[in-house]
Amino acid sequence: MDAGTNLLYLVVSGIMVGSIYSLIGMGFVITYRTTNVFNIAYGQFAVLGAFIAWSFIGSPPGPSASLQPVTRLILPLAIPLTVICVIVFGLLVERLLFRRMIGKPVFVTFMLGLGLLVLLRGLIMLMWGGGGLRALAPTIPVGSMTIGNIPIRKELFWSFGLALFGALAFLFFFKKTRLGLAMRAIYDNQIAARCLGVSARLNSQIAWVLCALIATAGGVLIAVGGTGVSMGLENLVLVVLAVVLIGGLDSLLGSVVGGLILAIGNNLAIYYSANYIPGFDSIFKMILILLILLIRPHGLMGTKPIERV
Amino acid sequence: MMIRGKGRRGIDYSKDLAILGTWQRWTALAVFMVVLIILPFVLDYWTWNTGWLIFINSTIITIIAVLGLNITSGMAGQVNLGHSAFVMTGGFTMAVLTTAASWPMLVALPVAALFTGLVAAVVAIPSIRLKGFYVAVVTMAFFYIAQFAISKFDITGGMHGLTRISPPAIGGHVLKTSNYMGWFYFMMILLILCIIVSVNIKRSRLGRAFTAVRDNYIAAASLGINVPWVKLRAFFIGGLYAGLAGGLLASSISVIRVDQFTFWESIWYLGMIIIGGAGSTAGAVMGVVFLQLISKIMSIIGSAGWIPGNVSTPIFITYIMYGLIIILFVSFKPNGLISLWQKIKINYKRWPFGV
Repeated sequence: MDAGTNLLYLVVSGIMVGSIYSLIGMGFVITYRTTNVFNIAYGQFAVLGAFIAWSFIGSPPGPSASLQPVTRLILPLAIPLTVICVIVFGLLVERLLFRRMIGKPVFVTFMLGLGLLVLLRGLIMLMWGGGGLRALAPTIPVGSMTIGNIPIRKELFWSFGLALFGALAFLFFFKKTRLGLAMRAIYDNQIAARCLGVSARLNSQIAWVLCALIATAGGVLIAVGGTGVSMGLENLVLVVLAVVLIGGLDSLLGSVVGGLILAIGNNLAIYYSANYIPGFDSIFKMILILLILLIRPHGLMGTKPIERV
Repeated sequence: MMIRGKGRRGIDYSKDLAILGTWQRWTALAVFMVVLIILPFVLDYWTWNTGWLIFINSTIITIIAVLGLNITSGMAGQVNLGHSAFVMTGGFTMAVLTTAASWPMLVALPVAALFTGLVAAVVAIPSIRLKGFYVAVVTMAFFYIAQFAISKFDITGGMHGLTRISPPAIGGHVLKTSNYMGWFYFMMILLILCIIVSVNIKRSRLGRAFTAVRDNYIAAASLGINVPWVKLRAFFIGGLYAGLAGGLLASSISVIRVDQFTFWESIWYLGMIIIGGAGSTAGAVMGVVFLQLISKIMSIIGSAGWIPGNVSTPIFITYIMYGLIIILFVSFKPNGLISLWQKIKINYKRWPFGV
């Protein structure tokens, strides 16, 4: 490949990965907007969801077949079951932990999130054993294909499509439906919205279920994309932090922008820094976070908070 | 007849602020000091090994680190998820200074602490404009960047870290002998100094500025407090403590590697503050002792073979325990163990009239 095609390849695959990042970022934004919780345990949500999905879907047949789950099912049964389990998990988290936190200071909910992060990590290790890497059987087509003369992994392309669909569905939900309107109202002014008959509790439940579902979707898409299901997926929380901080914590559209910036930038950074600083990509997102917090703390598209005593 | 409650009543402010105001407190302190002095002898004699003394030494180091975090996060309210990186900075500074540059420990230790404090102050610069979890994210980013940087430098030994760090010695007299006693006394003196400094910061002008910034920084600013400067100093002092702890750790275990200092370590530190009671020095000490004892008990249970199929404590039990403890404390006792103690005290004073 010549330099131009190469650059194009980096950008295109960046856009596709970025769409997944955007989708995952939206899950974070939703809980922040509706319940004002900075969900630091988000990475564990993705790991848990991916492990639940693996328990029903299983690994691809082959040399790793010894690592098959006992509850393995056919795909049309496995996906709804995964979704149900994740919904139950989201409801549990909301009911047991965050419902009593409505209106509490941010520091408290943040610490609760840290506790949840640690607890979930332990539970996941207990259930699935922390060590091993489990390949996830393909739920979407895999292989390689070309767009023009750019080679692209088929699963990446499909993930891109799914993520795009998911992101659009979310934007539609929030902008056009009554429930989405109610959730936006709760974010803007909780007391006024409740006076008008919007249920804060229902909104909080919906937010946590959506958050868990999106985290699962993100974890599964990334696992299918080649990394497999492992505890390593928890580092997704760093990606998510970068995405939502760049885009703005309370902006769905911002997380699209943030995801694209992060993924494309990451691709370019890996490619062009490989000769100078090996492993630079591992801290690229951290540097982005620091930069955006230095320059524009509320993100590119977030609303600037107005402070009153 | 006027009914007077129990407890002390200062006739002026200096008496009221005194830490050791009553003869009971002086007695308690004296008893505590005697216990501390004879403790290593008792442990050495009764347990036939130094396991408990090593445990106590590591607890002391953790307490020093957590006291620092308590100043940054508990008193001044700047949530710091990178404290483990500060400890790491101090540890590597100490290792480089004493081993490569062969400085004496008593010189290298303050330098390591000071260097870490300056690093912490630099990290705090982005947090001047930020608040709440944004500060937490900045410190988290610093954690990963520091880890990356230290694993790349030659002077810090890269990923393999530094081994054979010079053992702690004062004027050629090695402190860390086989029974760890000299080292225990040395660190205990340091710890007591740290506690005194921490308690006095809390009731100084600076400490009240910390509290004001934590509770409402806009109100604090309108009272004439220089909020950015106060935040910087909170990080600086926290960094001093962390650097001291890191230096002690490096001398203590004489091996230092990047992967000793995980992100989880930072979370444990924060958890200890929450459990003890954020902002209170005694609370921080209590939190550390509580969690350290739990992990010690779990490792005893693990090595006793009560958990089938495992030689030592499986790591997931630690995570589940710590996670549950943090969640339960945040949900039901957000002011920590120290609030229990204060409740007991108040009830005792008011009895039989109070709750």
